[in-house]
Amino acid sequence: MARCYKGIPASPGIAIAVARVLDSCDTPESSVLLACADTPELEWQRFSEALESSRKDLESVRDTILSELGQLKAEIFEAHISLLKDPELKAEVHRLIFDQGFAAQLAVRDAIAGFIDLLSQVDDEMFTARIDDLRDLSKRLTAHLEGYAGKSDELIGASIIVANDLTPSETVQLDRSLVMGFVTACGSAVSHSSILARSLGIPAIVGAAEAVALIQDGDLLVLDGGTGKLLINPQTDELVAYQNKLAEYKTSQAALAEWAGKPSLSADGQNLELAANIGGISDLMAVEKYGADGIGLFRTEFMYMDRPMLPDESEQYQVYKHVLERMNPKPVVIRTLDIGGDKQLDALPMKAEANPFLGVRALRLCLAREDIFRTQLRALLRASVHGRLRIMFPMVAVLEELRAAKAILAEEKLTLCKAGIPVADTIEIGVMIEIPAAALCADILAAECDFFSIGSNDLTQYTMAADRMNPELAHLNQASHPAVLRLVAMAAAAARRHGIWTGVCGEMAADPVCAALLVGMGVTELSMGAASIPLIRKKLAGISIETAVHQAELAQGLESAQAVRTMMTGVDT
Amino acid sequence: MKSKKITIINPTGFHTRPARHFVDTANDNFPDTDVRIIKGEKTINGKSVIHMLTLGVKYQEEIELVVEGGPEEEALEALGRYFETIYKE
Repeated sequence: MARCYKGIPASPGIAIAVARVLDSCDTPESSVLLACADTPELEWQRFSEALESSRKDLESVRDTILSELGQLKAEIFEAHISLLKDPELKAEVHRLIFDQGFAAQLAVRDAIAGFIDLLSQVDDEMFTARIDDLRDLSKRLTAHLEGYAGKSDELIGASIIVANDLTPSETVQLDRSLVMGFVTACGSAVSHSSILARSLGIPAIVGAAEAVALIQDGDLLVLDGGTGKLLINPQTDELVAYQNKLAEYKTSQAALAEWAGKPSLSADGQNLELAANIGGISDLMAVEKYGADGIGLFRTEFMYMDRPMLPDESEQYQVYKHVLERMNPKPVVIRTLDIGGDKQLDALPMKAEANPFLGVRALRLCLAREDIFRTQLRALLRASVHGRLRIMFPMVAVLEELRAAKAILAEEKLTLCKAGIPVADTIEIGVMIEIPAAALCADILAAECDFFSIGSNDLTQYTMAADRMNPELAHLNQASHPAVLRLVAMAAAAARRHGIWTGVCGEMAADPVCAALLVGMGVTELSMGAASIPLIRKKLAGISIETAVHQAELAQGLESAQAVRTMMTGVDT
Repeated sequence: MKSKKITIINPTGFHTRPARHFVDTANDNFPDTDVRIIKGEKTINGKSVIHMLTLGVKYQEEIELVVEGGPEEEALEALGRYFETIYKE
């Protein structure tokens, strides 16, 4: 009879193999250690030797990782090496050996346990994850002190490792030709072993204490690291289902991973730009991983949220500079502050409005509060020399707003230039097309800006007059409706006539059906959550511009969003 | 003794990697300087990674960096910079 358990999904992928249960090495009782302590001088000598051996181990693990996984992953072991040199750790061990008469093992264990206690009180996942580092170190030092370091359990065939816990160094030392996955009783999705498992591509489930206690060596396991589901000795039908799933998963992953590194081209070779939407610096790793051609939307409002004070110019400058430098020479579209509607700031209480989505938000607010706007523009202008900056204004309804924003930008630029502060010569200025008025008069706006980016989420809700936060109106909020498509086509056509480019930075860009239509309407840049890029890139590579243009024309003449989807997918969805 | 108050601008706070680089610099470049970091009521040894981590410095928090002995001016400048930087994650 199969038993099914659930743990924390730590690293996606499916593994089917026999269980190999790792024995935990039980450490001797404290009393035994206390009794067998030698003279403090000898114990201190043993501790120093264990430190030295541990350092050598770690340096060799670090070098392996450095060559296989790169600098970033090797950092974990750099951190362990630093911990070995820690003066406070040495001081505490010294105190326990000389003042308390502890054996080196006990001194190490108690000293590190004390630091772990202190770290546990820090209320921050980033820091509490470091507790793993200390545990790893404690294990390693103890192993050297007791002379059993370096002996690992031999694997006979393909296995799923089952352990109480795996330290980061144990994780990287797993024989990857034989280890299909691992399950541990402890750990969280952000513990080092989980992070390493993800970068090594080993499926893993952590925090599955109940299952780990039950699994016997040699049990057949099915592990789904994406859902956290674990089957012990599954029945034949379940096993077959998972074997199929495993085969599918392998094919799709291999196919998509390949697309992260490819150029963005249509089937007939037209260059497209598949960019990423980001909310801050922490999203940049995914941007790099999925091979974005640039940043198509940097939502700067997150920098302003959940804090008592607005970010000042130098703070903003540092953030923009970092993003621009890291993306250079790829372009970065930074949208000026877009708050109001569903996004409110602690630092800037706003008057309650009857219809906040139709109220003083985004550029409207910035033009009313020039001080806030000018601070952001100065930071942007100063950062512009560090990469390829594109500035985008959100919620433009009429030409006067664009002109007002551009005039303020020009004033700030002049002031900076007079003060001798360098500013890039060319900064593209764009308008976000998210109000039907802007789409309808796009030709007028196009004459005075360098690009359009269609905010499809807002454009849809304003076109349909249907609040997108209201779940009862979800059926109206369909970006693929011909009404929205016609507005997009109108804006893109106006842009083309004026020699400027059009992008899309809403959900629409990541929808494989819409992406093809957008390209057919003349959109050349699509910006989305970075993880969607490989899929969309693959989709667009299969469509020629001619076909896309034809489909886009047909779609605009259809009667409903449903009809558009049916035409594009060939099935009645 | 010299000191400086700094607000952390790195969005994820001051975590392991910058802490380690800070500590390495403090130990390697300023062996004769006593380095302390004060946050609220806590004061810790700036030459200990473990101490640095227990301080749990987060985004927007203010700390005080105190240096004593050796080339204080240089130490304050070099070490202060670690807190005033945004790090690649």
